[in-house]
Amino acid sequence: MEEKEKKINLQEPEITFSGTRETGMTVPSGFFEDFQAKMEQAIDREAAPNIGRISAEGQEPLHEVSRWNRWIGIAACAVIVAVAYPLWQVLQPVDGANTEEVLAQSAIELATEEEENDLVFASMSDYDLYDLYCEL
Amino acid sequence: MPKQSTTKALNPKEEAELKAQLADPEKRRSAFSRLISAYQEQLYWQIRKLVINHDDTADVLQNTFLKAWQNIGSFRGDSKLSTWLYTIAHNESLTFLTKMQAERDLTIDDPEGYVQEQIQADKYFDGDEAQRKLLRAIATLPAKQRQVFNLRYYDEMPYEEMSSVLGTSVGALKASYHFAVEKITAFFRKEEI
Repeated sequence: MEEKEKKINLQEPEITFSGTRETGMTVPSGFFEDFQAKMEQAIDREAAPNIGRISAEGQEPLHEVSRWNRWIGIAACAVIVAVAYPLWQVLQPVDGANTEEVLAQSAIELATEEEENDLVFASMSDYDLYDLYCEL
Repeated sequence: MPKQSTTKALNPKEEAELKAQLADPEKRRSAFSRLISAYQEQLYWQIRKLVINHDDTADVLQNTFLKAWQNIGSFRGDSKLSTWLYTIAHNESLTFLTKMQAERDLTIDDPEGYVQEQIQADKYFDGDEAQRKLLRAIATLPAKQRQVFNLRYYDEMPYEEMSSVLGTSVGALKASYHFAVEKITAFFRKEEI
């Protein structure tokens, strides 16, 4: 019990000090003068008005469009549609066939009848050709 | 080379004036210069006793004043300026130690190796063997107990003020100091054997 009371005793222990309570630590000469100047600069940088910083200044003001400007915009859109539609019609093939059909047709027309015959006979063996000529 | 704080603390009248100027946005900047001038040495030594190394102390001190400047608008003036600054310095020192010890894979409450190394490496230490030994003994204390011991032993800060700085009750601080002294005494006894 006595031991416990001794442990929770909050009386400040007696310490005999030998001289001043110095830690033995030192600072370089002129450190505090230099520090003050350095600190002043750091504070001025902190206090500088928004240089290189992003800040929310508020919402950008609304850009109002007048009624006249609005009608100009609508008219410009109408003109674009009016010009684009006839142009699109002009560019359509005359017979109504689409571009792929036209191209396919022209490719077939490029080959003559003789060329087509060559193509057929080239795939036949000499023997078959002989038979064919005999029949003809 | 200076060893201890040579600047005098502000008297109550000067402190009240300074607080009023700090509250005024137009006079704040010049008042803050006075604040730095008045408290830089006291804060330096408070931080140095925890951080040990001079260069690290200078960095922590700069961060302390920057934090104070950034938060000067929220300082209501209820507490003493020194108490407010001590609190910021204390938190900055602990943040620094936590960061350093995380980098070195040590825990904040076991910094003896780190502190020993700092004492050995610090060129701004010209204390005798007893002072070196006391610092080594203090290094064995947990971070908060170390701070209590430093504030009471070296700075002779009243417990009431220390209570505001550290956010701990006076009773707990007295107990903490008591146990710190016991541990330091045990450390010295062990060294003697």
